[in-house]
Amino acid sequence: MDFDDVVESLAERAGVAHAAEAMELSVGSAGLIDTAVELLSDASGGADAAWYADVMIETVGPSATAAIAGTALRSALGRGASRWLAEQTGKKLRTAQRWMSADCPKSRIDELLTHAVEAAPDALIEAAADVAGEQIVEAAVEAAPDELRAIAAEEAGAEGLTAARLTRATVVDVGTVAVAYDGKPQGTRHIGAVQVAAGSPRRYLDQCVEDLREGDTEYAATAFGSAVLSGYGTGLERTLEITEYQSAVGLTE
Amino acid sequence: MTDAQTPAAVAALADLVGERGRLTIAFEAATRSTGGWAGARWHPLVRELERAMGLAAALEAGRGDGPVPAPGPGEPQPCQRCGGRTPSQLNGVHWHRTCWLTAGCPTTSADGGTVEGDDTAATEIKRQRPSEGAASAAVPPRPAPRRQRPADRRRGTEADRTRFVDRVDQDEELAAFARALRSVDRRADATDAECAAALAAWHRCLRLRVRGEDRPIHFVTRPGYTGVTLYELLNKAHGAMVTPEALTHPLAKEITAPVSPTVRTLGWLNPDATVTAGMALTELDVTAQYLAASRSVLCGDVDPDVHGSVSADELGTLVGWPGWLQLASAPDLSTLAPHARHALSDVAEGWWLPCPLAKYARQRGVALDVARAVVWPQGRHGNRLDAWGGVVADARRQLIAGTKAGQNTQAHEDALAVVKLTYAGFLGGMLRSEEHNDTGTLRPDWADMVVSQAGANELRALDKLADPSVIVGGLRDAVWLATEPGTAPVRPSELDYADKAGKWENRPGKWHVNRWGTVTEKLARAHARGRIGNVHDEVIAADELRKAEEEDA
Repeated sequence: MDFDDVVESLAERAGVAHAAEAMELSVGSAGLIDTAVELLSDASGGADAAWYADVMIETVGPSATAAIAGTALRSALGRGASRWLAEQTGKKLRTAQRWMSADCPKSRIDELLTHAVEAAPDALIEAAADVAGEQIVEAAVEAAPDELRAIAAEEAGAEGLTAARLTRATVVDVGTVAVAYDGKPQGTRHIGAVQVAAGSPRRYLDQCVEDLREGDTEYAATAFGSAVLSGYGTGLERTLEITEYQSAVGLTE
Repeated sequence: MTDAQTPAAVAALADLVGERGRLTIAFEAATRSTGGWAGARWHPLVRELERAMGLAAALEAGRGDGPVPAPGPGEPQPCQRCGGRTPSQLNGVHWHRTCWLTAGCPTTSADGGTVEGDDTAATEIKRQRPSEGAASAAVPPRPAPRRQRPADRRRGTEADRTRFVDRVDQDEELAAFARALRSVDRRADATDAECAAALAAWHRCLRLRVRGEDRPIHFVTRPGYTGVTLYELLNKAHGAMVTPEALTHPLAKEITAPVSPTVRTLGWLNPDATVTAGMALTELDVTAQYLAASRSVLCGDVDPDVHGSVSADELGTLVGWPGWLQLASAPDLSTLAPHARHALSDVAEGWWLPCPLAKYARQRGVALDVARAVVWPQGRHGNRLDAWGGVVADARRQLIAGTKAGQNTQAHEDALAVVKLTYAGFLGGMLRSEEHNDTGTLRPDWADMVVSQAGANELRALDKLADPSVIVGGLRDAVWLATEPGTAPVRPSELDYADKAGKWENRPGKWHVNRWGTVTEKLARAHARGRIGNVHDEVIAADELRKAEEEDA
């Protein structure tokens, strides 16, 4: 099989962690968080205030969470936010102002978040993404791995998924390969497993990752072959080139 | 069962026997392939089957981690079953894979216990750090009583080789020669008659001429073995020739190991060269580069000396001997011409620089900070490959002359192709091959010296160019030049050419134009991105495009 087949095969065996990494690189972290929020909403029937509160409190602490909720309310309601909150809760204006600051009593944070979700859902999601994007993605990976993987396969493609796998690879096992010298076939070699964590093999593999992410599989094929050959023997990539992979390629991460 | 709970052996077995697994791929590759010899086609499948059987045997024995292969090639030790030396290890024990299978795929470790293992990756880490818990797996096994090694065509004993040479079976020789010839690009369909004619040409030109004796040198099994046999014949015939002993010195073996940080084949791009689409492109090659280097390179005998520290005065002497210098720091290469500077740019602290290249660098003003030197001093080295290279070079010269004479052209070309395989197989393969060479010519240090001498010779020649800025880059024996549009192929006057009539015609070590064409956008891009492999591919493509255009015209 040629390098394109290797890419397809490695992508097919990519895990959800690779999928998240590949997606982040193809759609950006904001796009990934949007997708994660959508997946969580689908999985749980809609992300609610309690969930956001858990994520944010766990990430930035209660005080900062209250401040973020206050910011979300001000963003949505403008200068009338404190008055609106006072009316909703039946509290004095001064009390509402204090709730919307970092001085909000811990016992009132849930109530404050409930009002923020009701009045300023988009602003709160945005704020949550800013401070707790990683946790949101992790939660999405846990809640909906297959869906995330499917989306990643669509967004990042086989190249993106394989690039994510190669980024983490420490050992590449290519089994038996057909090789050429100066463009002329030289039979097969059993290469087996080679270390690619450091040195020349890592440099070539990083080039391969970069090429895959740019969609340049021709360059990626050369770089991948060089990584394997230089891992097998110092400078061997200057003597031989791999023309065909006769075994399924495996990775250790 | 989650991935984390799946025994490594089950996952590995699934990779082999599952849908589109390695076995299927290897089987399809073997049945699809039509060229080459059967062993090359089917060997990958045999290996995968062995692996699958081993994993199944491990699972049957209640072991989920399967047989644990060694992380890389190691010191050869006697196989547990047959006693033959092998670098191959399973579960920390030296086994030939076939012997291991025959013995019923035992899953015990070297000390008779089980190998620790949770998953393959963890085991791999433990094996690399034996002091942290996997000592039992890393301890070399007690050698089993050595048994008579079964006759093995690939590893002929000296007696076998003598038998081949002195009482050669003509049918066997022709069959082996034909197999070698048919492995050559575009000669897969050579007829039996063509093979016989080529072998006759080989016998006419490759001859042992010593003390009035003049007899043909027979082809033995494979090109590389023929090179080994030729060395032994010469060694017996020349009383003064030092009989080589296989390299056993531990440090020298470490330096010559495949993954050692040792400078070998050179490859570089010159980022400052002007390379734009439309420029003329020429690839110049050094003719029979390693064969040429074999005539002059110094090679060590038995063991080297190791110097812990080297003064500047001593260094001048040491670089004239075969061996390597280990660098204490990356050298300042600013005194070198661009091609040499880029060719040696990988060299860093801890790297081993072979003496021929060290001598070149020192002569060009590079100060070397040497931490250790491993060298063969005066009286323990010599031109050990000169006689061998002389016989081969003479045969090469006669075959080329025969080709040009216009009689039996195909036979001479075919024989020449097998001579090329022979010197490449010996100098580039058998000198290093613990698997295939059990003779005194198992000298990977010689191979390192040949490669390094060839590289130094090439750099010295390029230093003569009046305008080195035309050099785009180089790989092995090739160098690429980009010049004004319409000027290809160029032959800078400062170099000597083997493809021009005159003193240097067909001479190993001299240059010839190998490819030429026009720089394409893709080639310029590959150069700009610093991708030497892609530049090489595009040089081949540019040459093929030029040939196609010429045919059309």
